Amino acid sequence: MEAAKFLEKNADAWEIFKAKEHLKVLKIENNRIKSVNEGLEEGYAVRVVVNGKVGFASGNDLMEICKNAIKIARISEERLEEFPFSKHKKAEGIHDKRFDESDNWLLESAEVVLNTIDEFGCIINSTIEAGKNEVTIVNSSGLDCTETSTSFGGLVEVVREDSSSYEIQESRKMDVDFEWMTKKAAKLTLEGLKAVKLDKGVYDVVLSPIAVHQLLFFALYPAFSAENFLKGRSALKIGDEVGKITIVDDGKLKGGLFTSSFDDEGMDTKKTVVVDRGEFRSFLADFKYSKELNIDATGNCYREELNSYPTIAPTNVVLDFKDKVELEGEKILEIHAFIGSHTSNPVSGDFSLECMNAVLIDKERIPIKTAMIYGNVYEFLKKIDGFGRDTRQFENTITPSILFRDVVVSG
Amino acid sequence: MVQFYDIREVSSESLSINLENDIVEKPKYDLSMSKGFRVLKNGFWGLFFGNADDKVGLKLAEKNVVSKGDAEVVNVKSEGKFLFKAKINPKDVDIEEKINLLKEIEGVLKSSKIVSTRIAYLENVRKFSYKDSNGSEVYYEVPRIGVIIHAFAKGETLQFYSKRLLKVGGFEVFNNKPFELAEEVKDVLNKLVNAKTPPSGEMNVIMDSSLAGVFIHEAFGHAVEADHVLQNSSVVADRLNTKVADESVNVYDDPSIQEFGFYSFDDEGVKAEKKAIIENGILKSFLHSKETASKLNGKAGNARAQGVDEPLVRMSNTYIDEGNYTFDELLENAEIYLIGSRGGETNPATGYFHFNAQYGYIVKNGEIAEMIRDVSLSGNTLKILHSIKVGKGVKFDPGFCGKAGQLVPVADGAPPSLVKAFVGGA
Repeated sequence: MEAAKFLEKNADAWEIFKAKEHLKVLKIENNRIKSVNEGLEEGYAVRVVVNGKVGFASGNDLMEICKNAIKIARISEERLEEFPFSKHKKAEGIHDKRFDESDNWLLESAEVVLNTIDEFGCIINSTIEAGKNEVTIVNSSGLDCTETSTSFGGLVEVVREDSSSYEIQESRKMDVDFEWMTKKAAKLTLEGLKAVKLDKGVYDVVLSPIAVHQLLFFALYPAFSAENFLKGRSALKIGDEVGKITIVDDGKLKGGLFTSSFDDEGMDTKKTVVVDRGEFRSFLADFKYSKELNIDATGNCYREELNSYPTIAPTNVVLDFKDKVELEGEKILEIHAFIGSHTSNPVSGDFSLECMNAVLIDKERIPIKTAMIYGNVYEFLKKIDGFGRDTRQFENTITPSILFRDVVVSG
Repeated sequence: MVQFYDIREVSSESLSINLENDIVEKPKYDLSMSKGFRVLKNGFWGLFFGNADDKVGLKLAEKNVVSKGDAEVVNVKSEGKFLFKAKINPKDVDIEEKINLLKEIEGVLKSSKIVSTRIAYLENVRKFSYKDSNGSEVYYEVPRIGVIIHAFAKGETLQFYSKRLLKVGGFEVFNNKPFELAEEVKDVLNKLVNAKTPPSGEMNVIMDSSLAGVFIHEAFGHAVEADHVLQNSSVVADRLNTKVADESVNVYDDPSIQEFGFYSFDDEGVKAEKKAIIENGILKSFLHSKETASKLNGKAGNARAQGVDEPLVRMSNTYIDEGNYTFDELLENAEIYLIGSRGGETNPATGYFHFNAQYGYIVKNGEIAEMIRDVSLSGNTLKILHSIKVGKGVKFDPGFCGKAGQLVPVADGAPPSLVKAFVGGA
């Protein structure tokens, strides 16, 4: 490859990241299929080390990108000696060959959504997506790896009068359950029509997997990053107490939405116990920060987009707790999702969040108009008293519904 | 039959440099080009994006017309060329000077309580060309530039605070402003680490310009985007030409102001112009794309996209215009004064919103008292707009709006304003 030769000659170390994406999106607006959007994009991102310092460039024209990466490395003060070499254990369950049949799948799924919503008399807007990604990483340490993965998913938003709800499901396989999603969002929407005010008070609260992810992704997970720790931006240090739960980052989880054989700089992905029954055990690190922290790399290098600078991010985060509870029969406030979770404080872990589709269960289901919960995530995790059995993956997080005792809720 | 097609070509050139704890990190250069094709046939949209010849791209888009629909567009022809000339082209400025700017900002931030800093420099030029089946031909180039200052400090708690200066234009937008922002970041953080948590409940709250700007963008602006209206997910869907706010309230969206949300033509090639959204408390118009304008008899010009993604109805520079109250008059009736925003979210179908302020103060007897941290504000948009008291002096704050996963640059503006809403805290 011409680019590799050029880099070999002009850089001390180099890495070429190539991404090829094929995406199809069907949109339903106001109970009608409205559009199909297809994207086919290919691009490169190159990192180089020149005189011990890293430069990064991206775009479509590989030779141009190589030159730009070398040029910009000149002003960098970010130190790195080499790019990683790693052998990979193959990830399972991340590629569905039926992607080639996704045109039909999109239309069939849309039919399911539209037929299901019919009986509820609600407005539905939805996007249904099928994607195929091919990632190739080649570097000067001898790494040369490629992996193809697929994802299928849907988002439904159901509206009636001043009530609304949404549900999201994503899978590596063509097995998204659009009937379940549509029914769930429609039921919550219809229930919401009868919503009443909640009295301020202390409640036992059950967060759905969606709500758990929204809370932890913004208020807790940033503290797991080795970079944030080394730069003084993490509230955690090894040995700290994080509730009583176990949190495992598992980049090899079979069929996981963030599963891959190797991370975005080619390190082998693996299982890392981050929190072990309440004790904080390990940061998540990419190659650079694992060296600085003197730990093994955890395979958590992540590029949000092709032109994003590689950073540290969680993969599949599996939550566990010793006690499973039957949530039936107790007086609880069930929360489907939060509004505004990205406003949580990623440094201190403080949050205050508005609840969406909250229902007070006290013998009967009483839908709630507005409710806000607030606190600090590290204190909040201590309130966990049990896990449900409805485990699913929502974005990074794999969790069932979780019961928190004695939570102050304002109405 | 093909009713309409258009072809967009967008190239984007960006440079970003971070200075983290005094070290130049994550230097990044991106130059990418892509094309987007849309075909409207039998009322159904087929779209394709990628690097393809015009003919091939249109064919691929047409292949995605897989059903029939009721979509239509206003057929307008637009022509024009606009080159935004920066006074000091960032390309003429040595990269060392850009790094020096970051290091000088870092110098201002030095303080015993500050444990970590991250200062980002960004520059970008967007080159956009557009043609459609009505014979439109549009081209523009717009440069954007800015710095984002983040600092983290430790006292009783670990806290962060950030300010950003993002504008259309070149190096001339900086002057002394980044240093003033850095001073503010330092001063606020030094107090914030020992600030208390706020009280909670319904109270009289002054939102500063920045938070009131986010309020009008998030809580009201999204509800007047006509695609939300057509999706029946807007709380004001059937309120056009009726009273939706106190008669002192005027709200505009104006892409022609040279703030971060500036554009000369939208992503459907329509020339940008100021839109009155609320005047004297009356809802005057929604914001439109060519499609929603056709369905709701409105005026196109607010369709925007990240790169060559599907253009959606979006805001630009959205603001509440000046009112009559002095700041002291607002203070007299206030219990809390909230400053800045860590972002927010609204359910446009119900009008419920939730924002987090960067910090705030308790107000006692018309005087600003102790600082509070991690404070949030929530309520119902229409209820609030009916009783809002708008102050003087509109200030804009830049940001990126992320509707449907597509980021576009926007600016939100407002004078300080007094509202009754729910305050909550950690």
